[in-house]
Amino acid sequence: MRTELVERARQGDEDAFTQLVDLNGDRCYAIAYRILRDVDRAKDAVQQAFLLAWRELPRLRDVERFQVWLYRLLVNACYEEARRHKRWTTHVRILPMEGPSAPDQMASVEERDALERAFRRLSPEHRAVFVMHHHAGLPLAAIAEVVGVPLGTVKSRLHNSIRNLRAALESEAEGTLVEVRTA
Amino acid sequence: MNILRDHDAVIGAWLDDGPESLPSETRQAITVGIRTVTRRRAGIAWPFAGRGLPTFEPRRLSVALASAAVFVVAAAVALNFYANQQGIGGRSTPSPSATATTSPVVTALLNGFLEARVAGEGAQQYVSVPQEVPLLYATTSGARYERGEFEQVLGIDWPYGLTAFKVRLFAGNTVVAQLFFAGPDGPLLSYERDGFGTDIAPTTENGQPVAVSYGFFVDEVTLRAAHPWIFSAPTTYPNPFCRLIPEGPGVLPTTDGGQRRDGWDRLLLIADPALGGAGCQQGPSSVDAAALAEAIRSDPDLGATAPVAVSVGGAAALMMDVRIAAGTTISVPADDLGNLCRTAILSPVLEQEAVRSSISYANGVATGKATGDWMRLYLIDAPAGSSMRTLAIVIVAPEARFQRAVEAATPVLESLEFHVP
Repeated sequence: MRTELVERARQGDEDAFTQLVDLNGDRCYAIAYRILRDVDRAKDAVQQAFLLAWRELPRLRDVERFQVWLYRLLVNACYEEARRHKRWTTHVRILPMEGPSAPDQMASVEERDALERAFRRLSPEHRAVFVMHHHAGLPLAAIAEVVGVPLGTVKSRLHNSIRNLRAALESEAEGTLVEVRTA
Repeated sequence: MNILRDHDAVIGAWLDDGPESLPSETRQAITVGIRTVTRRRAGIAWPFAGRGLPTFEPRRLSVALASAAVFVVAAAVALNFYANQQGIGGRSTPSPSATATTSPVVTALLNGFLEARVAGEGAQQYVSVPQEVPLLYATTSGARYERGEFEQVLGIDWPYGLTAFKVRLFAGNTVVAQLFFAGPDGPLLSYERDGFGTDIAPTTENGQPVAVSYGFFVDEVTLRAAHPWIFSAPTTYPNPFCRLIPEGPGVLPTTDGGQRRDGWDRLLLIADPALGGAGCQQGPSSVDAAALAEAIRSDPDLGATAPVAVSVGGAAALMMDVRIAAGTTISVPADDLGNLCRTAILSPVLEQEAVRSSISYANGVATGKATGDWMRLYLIDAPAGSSMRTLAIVIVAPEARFQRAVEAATPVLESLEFHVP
């Protein structure tokens, strides 16, 4: 049914394309937000991606590849947003209160801060690979198609990304440990 | 706090925390936007749309509603520059009937930018990444600009709805021309070092592309490369490399950050290259350039030519070609995660495209099929005191484009220098 929608949209059916936006919009937005870490830029990137998709859809020859193609447009829109806004602004979010009922794996305020800073230091290309694999669950081969790099490069970016984020948490943990010792 | 928690689980929870639903106003903007976007026609290669077709490229709904810009896309192989010149000290010429209009915001942006460049200060505030703009206030010989002008570049539909402008700055008989991009409402100009990868050089001086300096291996190796070479960010890929923009007019812009259907021709720098072995070596290579050349030459599957003594960067080098038939099984060293080692000299011709890839990994070795691309190798014994023992410069291209790639690499190679502490 989805390929039928794509085909209809390709032929100019605006309703069909709107349904594709409904089907894919949430996921695209979730991915864009996690790459860009900014609500407004993520909205811009998603809007840009879908408008480009509408414009370019007549040239998509294999409707089965719509999703990979759409993700590619989305990632490139994220890259463009990242380039336009190279200076990162502080993103303030209301965090849930932590208490005894908080799940063990929830990040503390300090851990969140450390992860945000470490994530910002990653290039947009690294962030895209990381988000698409660990949040969107795309297989590496699909990610390689989306971002247009060899599979080995995807693996390398993933490895570097997780390593940097882990290191950020380890640094944070060591700092806390030191504080405990000196308390 | 349990500081021994699973870091990966914490990272996963952090990553999953965030918005999941596309806001309704964005959905609405898309729904409205698609009614104003002119679609491509199937079968007509972008950007060669029909002459006179108006296209409207809203980047955001607010822009779509506010912008009065209408772009006329010319059906042509070459660029058409229409005289709509404005600027500081420039000559005004009548505009032809079919021209696009530049928004007042962008006009003011460009005028301010040119004024500042002629004044010799303050231009940075007009550009998103000013440090990437070469010759900001003076020519390569240091001559300050006397006047400037700009004109909108028509004839090619740029990615992401951006408008391209050719900026010219004059210093005596010298003209520096650069390509800048702007959205309909600015707010800043964009300079793309690769000019979006088309046949238009992003910066020229008296018509010649201006070379940009690059440093690699902690500036132990420097070189200069001009359009049509595009260098990647050194931190993004294991080995520094640059891509060669295909020749010929009407080369499509790369809207996806670098991919082309038929791939890129490349020039790579590989420190301490390795031909075989398992796992990734640490530290300088154990073999010199001559031994590496001999090892390459002795493998019949590699189709290597006899090494020829040349000079690169003032150092003695061995030049040879490697022509592995497409589909030949080759092996390159890899790490435990399956990443090809950055020293693997055959990795540029190992088929890695996701759809066709059949790479297997075992015991520190990745085995797969060769792409069939040819390689020109320059194997150099690095000067004493270098962090590397050998440096390989590898030019990769299909046979049909190999000669062009090798010739285009000549000025890059001639500019290479070693800087040993």
